[in-house]
Amino acid sequence: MTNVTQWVAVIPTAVLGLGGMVLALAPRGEERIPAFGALALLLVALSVPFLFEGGYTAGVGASGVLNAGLFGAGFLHDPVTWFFTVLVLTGTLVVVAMSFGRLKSLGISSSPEYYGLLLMTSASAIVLVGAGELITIFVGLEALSLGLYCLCGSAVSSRRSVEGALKYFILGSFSSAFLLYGMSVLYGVTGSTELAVIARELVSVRQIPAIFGVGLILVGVFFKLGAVPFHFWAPDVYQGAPTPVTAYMASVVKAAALAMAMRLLWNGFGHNEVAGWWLGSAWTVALLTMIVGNIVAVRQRNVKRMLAYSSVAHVGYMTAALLPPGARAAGGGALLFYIVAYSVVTFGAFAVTMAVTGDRVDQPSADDISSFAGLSRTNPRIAAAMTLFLLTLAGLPPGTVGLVGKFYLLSVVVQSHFVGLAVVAAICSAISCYFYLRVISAMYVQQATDVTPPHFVSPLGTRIVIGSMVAASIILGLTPSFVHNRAQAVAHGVFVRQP
Amino acid sequence: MERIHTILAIAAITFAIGAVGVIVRRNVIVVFMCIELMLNAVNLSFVAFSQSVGNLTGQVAVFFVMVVAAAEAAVGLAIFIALFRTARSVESTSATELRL
Repeated sequence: MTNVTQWVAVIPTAVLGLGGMVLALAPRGEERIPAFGALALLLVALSVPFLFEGGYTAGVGASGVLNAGLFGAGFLHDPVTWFFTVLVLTGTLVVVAMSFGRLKSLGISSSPEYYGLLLMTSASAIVLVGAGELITIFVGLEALSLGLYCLCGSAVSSRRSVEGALKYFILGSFSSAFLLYGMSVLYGVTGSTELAVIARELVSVRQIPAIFGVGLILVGVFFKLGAVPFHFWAPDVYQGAPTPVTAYMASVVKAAALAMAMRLLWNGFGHNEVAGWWLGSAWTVALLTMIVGNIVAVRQRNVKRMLAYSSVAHVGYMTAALLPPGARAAGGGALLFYIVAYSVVTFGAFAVTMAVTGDRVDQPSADDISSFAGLSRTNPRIAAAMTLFLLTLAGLPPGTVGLVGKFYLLSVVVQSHFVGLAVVAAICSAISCYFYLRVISAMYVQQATDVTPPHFVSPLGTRIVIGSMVAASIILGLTPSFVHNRAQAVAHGVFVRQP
Repeated sequence: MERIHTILAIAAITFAIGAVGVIVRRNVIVVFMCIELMLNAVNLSFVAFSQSVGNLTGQVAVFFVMVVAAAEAAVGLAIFIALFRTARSVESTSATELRL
């Protein structure tokens, strides 16, 4: 415990949290100062996990058993934290690039607060990702959510933005109360808030209250992931929030929630006997999430709502891979790869949607599928990029990342004898082709119905994001093993052992 | 009935009252009060458990929950003000712009 390098793992959080606070005080008006400040802080934070990778392995002892972690067991400096720290920071970098030059037209008048909040929210996401103890998980989750409520309503004069923030706030706080109640019950039964201790104790305590506590915590976790039947907030919030914030929620926040789910379900409630308590209900949630997400997405006219239901559906596939008790290393590797691939294409799809919406943020119909009509003629390259992103989400051939990611996930599910779930996932993927292809057909087949001049707006930041996401999805699709091997190694060190 | 059971029952009832309030009330400020009620019910159960378990972790947890609840109040009221500015009302029935 005398090793100094292990404290390196908290530097990114500290840099973003403190830097974000200072950034929020920057003078209003000039967007460049806070944007470049955020960029610089993110690059500094991002250099830490790469320069001091040893700090993130110091927590794992020779036998693969985790040492105590930092701050008691509050913050675990293990490879999983490394992986998600890099993911969160890179994702935030992309969101900053997406937002730059567009804040005014999105209705966000105070850029310092926006970038400051973005950094502070990411700092909390890193806290949540590394949390190995119930109170830290709660504080990290709430700090993340509070930042998100503000970001979601940051276009204060837009009624839809504020309404999305309100719905997210009410339902989010409601679900955190359930999560917290579950935590207090678990503390009462096991006498500790540390996940490692809870995992050991749960086997031998009185079952009824323990199951009650675990169940309440699951409600909170599934709400944050946006799984059915706790998904009602997702479409409204995704549609109402400014598009860069929506992209942030669909990727970075989803990744952080996934990390929390993996730590709770596998490290906390992962013992074979304990897993039996939640396996059945989680199985049902996974099934419902896949079916409802894909079927309701078919009916959507608005692209942001459609992508929201599509994200619900993808959470369903991911939840299926959370189940297998015997295949956590493989399942963890597949999940980490999937969330990376999903984040890349989601960023791309939302960046294109934002460009197509252009300067018509006030019009409710501006991000409808009809706005994409004839895009292949007015902006052929952007239309091609969007086609790639949508095909990847559908898991169809040119978008190989999506295909490979789904293959990794479903092979874990099948190998653990959840064959029924895998079959439903395959059928649902087939259904999902319909609503993804609908946007593509609008771009390539339909004529632009709008007689007014095109509203397309793509400043440099948006174009960089679209271009780099195309490159990233092609590279990931051609050499998936590079990231997948890494993900597998990361998951193997943390999730493979029986608690 | 032991004392701890009484306290836990009170906490559970308070939590349930809060949860029902969130579902049935329409004024967002009352809804928010009900959420605070739920959080405080959890605080009560944390303290009760802390005594029965015999360590202080539960009492420390209460302080964190209180801080989070205060931060939540700040953010929540800001959102309500923004809602009132755009919709001229704080009834949740006025927030119906977003739908299929």
